[in-house]
Amino acid sequence: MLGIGIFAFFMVAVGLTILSGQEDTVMGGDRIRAAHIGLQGLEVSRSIRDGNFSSLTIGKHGIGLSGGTWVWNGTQTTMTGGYTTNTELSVLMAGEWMNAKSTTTWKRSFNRSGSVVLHTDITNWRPTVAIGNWNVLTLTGSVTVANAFFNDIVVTDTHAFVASETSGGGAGLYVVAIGNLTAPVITTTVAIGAPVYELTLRGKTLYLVTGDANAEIKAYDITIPAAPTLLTSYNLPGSGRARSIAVWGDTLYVGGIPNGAVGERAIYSFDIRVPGALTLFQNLDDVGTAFEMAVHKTGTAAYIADSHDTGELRVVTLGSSGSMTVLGGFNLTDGTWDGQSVAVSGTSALLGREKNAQTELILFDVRRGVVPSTPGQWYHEGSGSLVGVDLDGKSCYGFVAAKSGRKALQVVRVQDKTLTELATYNSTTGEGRGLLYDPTRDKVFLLTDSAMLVFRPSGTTNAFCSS
Amino acid sequence: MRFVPRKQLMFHSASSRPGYIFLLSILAIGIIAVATTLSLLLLGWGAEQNGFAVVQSAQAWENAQTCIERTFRTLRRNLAYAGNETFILTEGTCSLNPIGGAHNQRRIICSQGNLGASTRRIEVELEKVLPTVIVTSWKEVSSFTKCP
Repeated sequence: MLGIGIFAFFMVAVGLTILSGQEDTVMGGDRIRAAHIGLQGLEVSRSIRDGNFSSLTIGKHGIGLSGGTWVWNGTQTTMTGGYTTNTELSVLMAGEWMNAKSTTTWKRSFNRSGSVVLHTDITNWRPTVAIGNWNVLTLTGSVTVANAFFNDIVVTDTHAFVASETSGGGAGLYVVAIGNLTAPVITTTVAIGAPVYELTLRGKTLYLVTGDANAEIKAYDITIPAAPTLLTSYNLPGSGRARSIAVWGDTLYVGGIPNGAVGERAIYSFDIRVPGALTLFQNLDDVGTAFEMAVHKTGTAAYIADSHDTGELRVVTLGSSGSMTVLGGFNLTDGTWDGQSVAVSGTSALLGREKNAQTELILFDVRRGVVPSTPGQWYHEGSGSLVGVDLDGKSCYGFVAAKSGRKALQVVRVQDKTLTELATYNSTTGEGRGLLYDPTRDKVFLLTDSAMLVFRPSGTTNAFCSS
Repeated sequence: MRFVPRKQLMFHSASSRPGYIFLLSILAIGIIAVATTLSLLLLGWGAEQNGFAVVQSAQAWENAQTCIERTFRTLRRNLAYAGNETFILTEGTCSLNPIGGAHNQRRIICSQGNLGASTRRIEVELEKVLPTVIVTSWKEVSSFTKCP
């Protein structure tokens, strides 16, 4: 009897253990199926967002199909196999950013139930920022500093950082709050002690090229925009030769005046992976001054507005770890007027030159990222030395700053290559010295001898720029 | 010492042999049953762990997607945004490598979502951010190749 009892107990234990193992296997399968259902719910949310972000309404939603597209359907959905799922949306920032939580539950018996919850964020990144009609220029706001002689500008979502000379009393660096573009306000002036020619931004680090003989390159931390903090500086060989700057990924390129002396090269590349450090990769010899640099969209070439007499548009190939090679230059055969400014967008490059008879502005096709040949080039008389050029993101318009009070700002049509002059602005604050087209706001910032001016287009989009 | 005749010894051996066989049989069956039971138990435990792993992996995937969504939003407001940060999310984290390219040209975003032992990676290449985000490629990868 004892033996039978022990045997019976043993068999019951074995049986329960087998059942438990079977239950675990089934539970695992349930969980996997629920995970896939949850993923589907979140993907449906993104699909609905792709159609219209405003269709993402707060609350719990079931899903369904209508006409081949996903739609919300009720507050939950029962799927095959007894799974019930819903996607709950909550707002993180109205009109811009939501959180989606997908909950899938199932219940097989009193001891066999479960749930899977998945989270994700969904943002409103799909809409197009309309490019207005730049046939009409409207001055929307400005800041004035007499004789600052502003040179360059970069912008973030809240502030503009503006470089200036110091010869007329300018500080070198100005921080401007641009939350309200009808009334920009200088929040901080930073006495650099030397003219600042150009600047560029990478994350929270602002890089300047200056006329400081012992520290031509300076890096500032702008985590607190109104309080830039010097992180580091770099002394180039020679004295105050740096003139231009550009960034691509974690590589900084600085161009300047070559001096023929050993080590005093035209272009330098730096590793900036660590924001507080400038580590030299390579220097490159060339005979012309690199007045401005713009990197091609592939990141494999840089276009330089240069003083080279047979290559006013110089092309330098860019490789990994800051490697550089001079590829050549495009020789504008009508004269030897220096390239002063350059901008690249998509397959278009704009070059601005010193004042001459009729070819201050040249448009190049750079789709292949090499020295441009054909198709192109296209020319426009710019009414003065063109010290600043830029393009919008669709290459519809070119924006030009001329070293002149008359037509200090010009807008030309790039879309059809005609470079037809569409609009101009005559400055009352001195000659044009630089500019920036801001695609996040569809605004132009013009820099003159004594002011930073903000322009907007008219509200309607030109037909040639709407597609 | 008691003398046991040979015939009697043989009779005792013959009558207890079936008992030994039965006992050995029971032992063998028991061992097989225990082995089978343990196997089923371990398989069940393994299947349940698989289920948890799949859920973790799904959330890690969504975490990587979350970083991409946030990066798109930030870039459209500030083209100088450089990535290189980690976000702590409701379940797990997501990390961004330094964003390649610059300004409005060819931005490369590498996002890694983590939860527990699960890691999922997404590599996105943009031709432009503005006026419209133009995506050149968007794919899951086992390791990043395009990011600086």
